[in-house]
Amino acid sequence: MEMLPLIAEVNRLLYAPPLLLAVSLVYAATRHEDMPSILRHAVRFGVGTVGFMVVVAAAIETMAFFQ
Amino acid sequence: MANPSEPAPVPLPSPKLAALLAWLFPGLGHLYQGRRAKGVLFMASIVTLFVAGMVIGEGKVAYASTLPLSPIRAYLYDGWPFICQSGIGVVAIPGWLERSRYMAGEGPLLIPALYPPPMDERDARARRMDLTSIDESGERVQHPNGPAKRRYDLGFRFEVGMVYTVIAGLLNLLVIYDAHSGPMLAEEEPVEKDSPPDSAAD
Repeated sequence: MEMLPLIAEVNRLLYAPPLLLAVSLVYAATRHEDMPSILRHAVRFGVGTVGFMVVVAAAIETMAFFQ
Repeated sequence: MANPSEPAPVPLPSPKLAALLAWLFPGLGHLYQGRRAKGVLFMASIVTLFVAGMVIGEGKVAYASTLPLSPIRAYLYDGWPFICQSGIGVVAIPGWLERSRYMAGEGPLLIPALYPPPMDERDARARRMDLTSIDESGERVQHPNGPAKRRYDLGFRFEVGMVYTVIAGLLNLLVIYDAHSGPMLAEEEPVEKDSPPDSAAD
């Protein structure tokens, strides 16, 4: 019971991948009917979301650097 | 008149019953309709997410607020997480039942984890529930109500567990729509070999 929280306490970002995986798969599956299309869409969605988060994080770090 | 370029419609037997089943348990509506792969995918994704949230939050992140339902704005301010979590029927039904038992002064019945925490000190005393915690220096910390104690005791894990379970409930709303009306198909399915791969934005 305690293992998952303990592992994730090392780095709180570890809580994000399960959430991203579930959201990508469910969102993609509500837009397609066949599994290959679902998986392709899920991968694109997941990569796009991570990319967006990286851009936001980079912007915040940049602003913090010049603060 | 049907457009020949449109994808063939997906057969959706008994859409209303399927939507009800999808609300009751994620993926059940799709399994009922014979859409097994998607049913299993929805079930695995949403149930895993919800259970993970409950484990991370030590079973203390899903409960219906015991504020009066009116005025609704005040209730929504406090009770929005469980309203979102109520996108899953097997959570919503016992959760609202436990709330009604709490309001009637009765103890938990079906799922104690969904039983609401005391909303003030007087209520906690009446129910013989402790609203204190011990901090890192060994001092006793008095909390104004049960939710505050849960937030203090669990810290960041309370927020994570809440986010996991809230998103699981919201995702199930998409699943209910899919069970009732089929996939949204905002993008065309990729057409065979000769056409370039679909590069439309998500």
